[in-house]
Amino acid sequence: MTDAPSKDVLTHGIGSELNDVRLALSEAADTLVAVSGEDLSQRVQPVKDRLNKMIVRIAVVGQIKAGKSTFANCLTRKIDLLPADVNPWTSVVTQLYFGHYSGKTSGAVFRFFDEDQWDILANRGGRLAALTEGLLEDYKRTELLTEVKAMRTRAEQRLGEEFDGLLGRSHRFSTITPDVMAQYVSAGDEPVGDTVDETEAGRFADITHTAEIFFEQPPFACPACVIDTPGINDPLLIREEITQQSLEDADFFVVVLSAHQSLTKEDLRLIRLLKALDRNRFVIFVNRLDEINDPSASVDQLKDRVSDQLAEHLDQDDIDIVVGSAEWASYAITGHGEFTDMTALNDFVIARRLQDDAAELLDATGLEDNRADAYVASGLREIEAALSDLVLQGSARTHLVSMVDDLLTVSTQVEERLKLRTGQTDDAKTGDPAALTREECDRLLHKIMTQANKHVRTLEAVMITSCDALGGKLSKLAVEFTEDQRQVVRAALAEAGREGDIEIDLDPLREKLTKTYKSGFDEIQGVLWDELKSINSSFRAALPKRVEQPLQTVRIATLPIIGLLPRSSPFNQTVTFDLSKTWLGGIFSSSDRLTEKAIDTIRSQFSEIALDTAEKEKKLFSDTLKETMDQFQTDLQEQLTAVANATDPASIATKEVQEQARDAALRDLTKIQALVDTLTALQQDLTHDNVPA
Amino acid sequence: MNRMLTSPDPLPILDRFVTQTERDDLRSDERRIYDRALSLRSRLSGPPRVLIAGEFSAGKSTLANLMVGADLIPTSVLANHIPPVEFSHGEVGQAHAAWWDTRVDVTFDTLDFAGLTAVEPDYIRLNAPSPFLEKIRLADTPGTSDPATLVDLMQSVARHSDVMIWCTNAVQSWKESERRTWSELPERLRQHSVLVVTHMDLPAIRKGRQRVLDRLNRLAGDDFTQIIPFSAPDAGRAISAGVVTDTEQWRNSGGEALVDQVLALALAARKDANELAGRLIQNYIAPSLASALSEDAGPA
Repeated sequence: MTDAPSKDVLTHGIGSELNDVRLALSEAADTLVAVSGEDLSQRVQPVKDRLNKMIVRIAVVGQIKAGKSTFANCLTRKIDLLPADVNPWTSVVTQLYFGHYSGKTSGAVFRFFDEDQWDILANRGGRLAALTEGLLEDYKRTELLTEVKAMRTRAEQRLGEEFDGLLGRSHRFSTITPDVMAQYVSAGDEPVGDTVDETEAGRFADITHTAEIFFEQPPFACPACVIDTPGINDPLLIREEITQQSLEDADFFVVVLSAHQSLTKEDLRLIRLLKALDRNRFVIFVNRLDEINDPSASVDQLKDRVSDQLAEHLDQDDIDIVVGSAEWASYAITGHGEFTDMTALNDFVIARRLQDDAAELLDATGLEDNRADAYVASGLREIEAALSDLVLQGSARTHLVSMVDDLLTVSTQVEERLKLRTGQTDDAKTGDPAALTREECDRLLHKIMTQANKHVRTLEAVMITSCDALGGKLSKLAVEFTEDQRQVVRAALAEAGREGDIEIDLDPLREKLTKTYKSGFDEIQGVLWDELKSINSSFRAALPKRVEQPLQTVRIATLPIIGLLPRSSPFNQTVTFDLSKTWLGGIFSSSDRLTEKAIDTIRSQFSEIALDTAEKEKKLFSDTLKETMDQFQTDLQEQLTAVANATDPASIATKEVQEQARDAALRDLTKIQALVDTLTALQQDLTHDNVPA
Repeated sequence: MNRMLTSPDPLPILDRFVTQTERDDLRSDERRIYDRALSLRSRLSGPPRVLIAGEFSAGKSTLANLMVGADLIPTSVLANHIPPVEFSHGEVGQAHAAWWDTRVDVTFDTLDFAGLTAVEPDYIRLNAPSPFLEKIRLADTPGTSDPATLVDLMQSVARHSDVMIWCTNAVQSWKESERRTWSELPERLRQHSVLVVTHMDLPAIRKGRQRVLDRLNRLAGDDFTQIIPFSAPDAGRAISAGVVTDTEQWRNSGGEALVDQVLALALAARKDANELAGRLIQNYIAPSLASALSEDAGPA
């Protein structure tokens, strides 16, 4: 029995590429701050803060008992951490931090509900409320209130006088034991009766809102947070509610399905909700392969089924789907296989011809035979590889690109200033110094900014008109569609003796709106980009010849505008119409009045989202333009000041001091030039690899 | 009361009513009566109908095959979404395309599924000589919650069934989606339903058996007449061609409890159906048939 951890199985290094970039940027930021004679900490500090706090957030979501906690335990290589049990109980969202920026690598914080949070839970507040306005079935509303009250009462009974003092507070532990975990994030069976036991498991579970637990960074290669959620489709609606409300805390998702029932309508609903919340980065793990008949023959069928259904219902064919078993993965990691059927595992490995892979792993790690088998059969490697690819995309990459751009802008400007100071400009070579007095500099700045701002104001007005037109166009599409549907539904209702529900398929409308929205966005963005480029060239053309060289790096940045992405699919927010089957069914089969009301709701919801989307884009473009122009002004001002200083007679010191300063500046220049090369290479790497649109 | 008990077999009367009446000519309240008559006629036209319901992949077809004693539907056909299938007593080989309304069955001498589905029946009837089928008819439907199934056919079968077996997988048992679908079925049927918990043979479930059942009792105990843990592999070893060969294993698998309970419910449901039919005939159908007769006789 080799219980000794083997390296390959105990780590996965998710986020290593991301971390390489992060570290390189950190180093670049430090180099910039260290450049003598320049105080850049003001400009570099925000980038440093962002780099420092950068964290990959992965949530494990799915239906109750799909095997989420067992999978999370495998992903984090903490096999016995999260309680997994035959019955679902926990209602707590657990956040596992690996390499938290605070430096914490052990211990835990358990945060308790406060009155507001309890209220949001019982009455569905927050963004989710906006999405599902008026669509929560009445029985659910009553049921949720009842459940929240029951939770509260149970906690009050258990905690007695302590209860009031705990609300809104937290408990902190410097080390964490399974007993402590059990008191806050309990699993097992719900308590019967109102016994008060100081040490019992689940003592605080009813009032614990979130659990945060801290670890060293491995097995992740960058700071990471794994979020385990209670799960959807629990008859206890509160768990569904808590899960839904926690979705926005993560950027990446592992959707865990059960091989017994791979992809149900509930799973689709969850994925639609993720898309509605703009949480589009997810991979799918079909778990519990070990529990079904003839797993080796089923793997491909299961995968095809899920992928076909996703293509059909969500029009997505680019999602990674891995079929496997968290049970096998647990066994591979720990060597404890209480529920592992070794014969079935062995048969699976032979039937799927995984022996070579397992043998390779065996050689590399010295793992026991069937633990290596279990590891390759479990699918853990594939899902971790898929996650690793995923985390380099999306918001993390966008952030990195903008941080590289920030640092590059600062670096090239410093480079130009140092060139000026060391007399290495082209002008200096031709013996025609870029002499400009302070007054001349100020006048030039004023002139350039007045011109540029005038252009930008005109541009902004054009943008606003275009956004309004787009909003109107989208809204009109929605109104036309629903009016057509109204006729269809009226005709269907008029047909005598019609049985069953009338359903309105909203997907064609969503598709049409999304297409129109995206092309409209692209068009507006294209105009802004072209115009900014043209403002840049006219500004450059108007520059006096002698400052052309020192000002050559100053430009209005176009990356912030071109880097903006259309929101993935705002119209999926209307997901709620698919969410509430009873609502739809009940309404469309009952009466004309309610049908009309339903259609009115659809019309106004789509129409509102259309106008709201246009407003948001307007603000986004407008804010970005303003930031871009502010930055341009700052850059221009600094660079002109440097030009003035370089030629200011007052700043010309003794020859000796001058020589020393020049040497230091030359050294800095070499450093900065190397830095610019590094950053340019990084920028190319990040933008060259195709970022999926 | 006495009149009802001694009243003649309601089936011929229901039959006459639905065949002689044109549904389209009725007012909407009369149509409801007509539909109830259709449903009762279908329920009384053979042994009580037992609907095997639940979400897809919950073990419904495995259970049906065990009781029918044969696997009559090839899996390749299942994937193509055939209509609900009813198993009734008879020799294997014959198959009927059937409708809930007054249309007459179309009989095929072979299990020609392509032909059967081509005539677009409400359901397909297959025969098997299993002794269970002498006492009940079994109806198997495509499971709910499957995104691949566009229309849930469970409701239509439920309207024509007497007893329901709801299958739930022990691994993810009694989810909100199940509870909701179940709660939308006719109350009459829900009062004659048992919850069968499948996959009890899985190692992790075996270990937590009592706790899984405790949870189900707490959440759904009031909704079903009985909650029965069931292991299909064990049951399969105890039964052959619908005949129990190993009584003890059959008992341990949950099969015995299931059959006992279903037969008891079938008896109770049949009694209810007869009473309901008697009342419907007495209150609505008899007067309506009488007036139809007098109208016919009038001008002649």
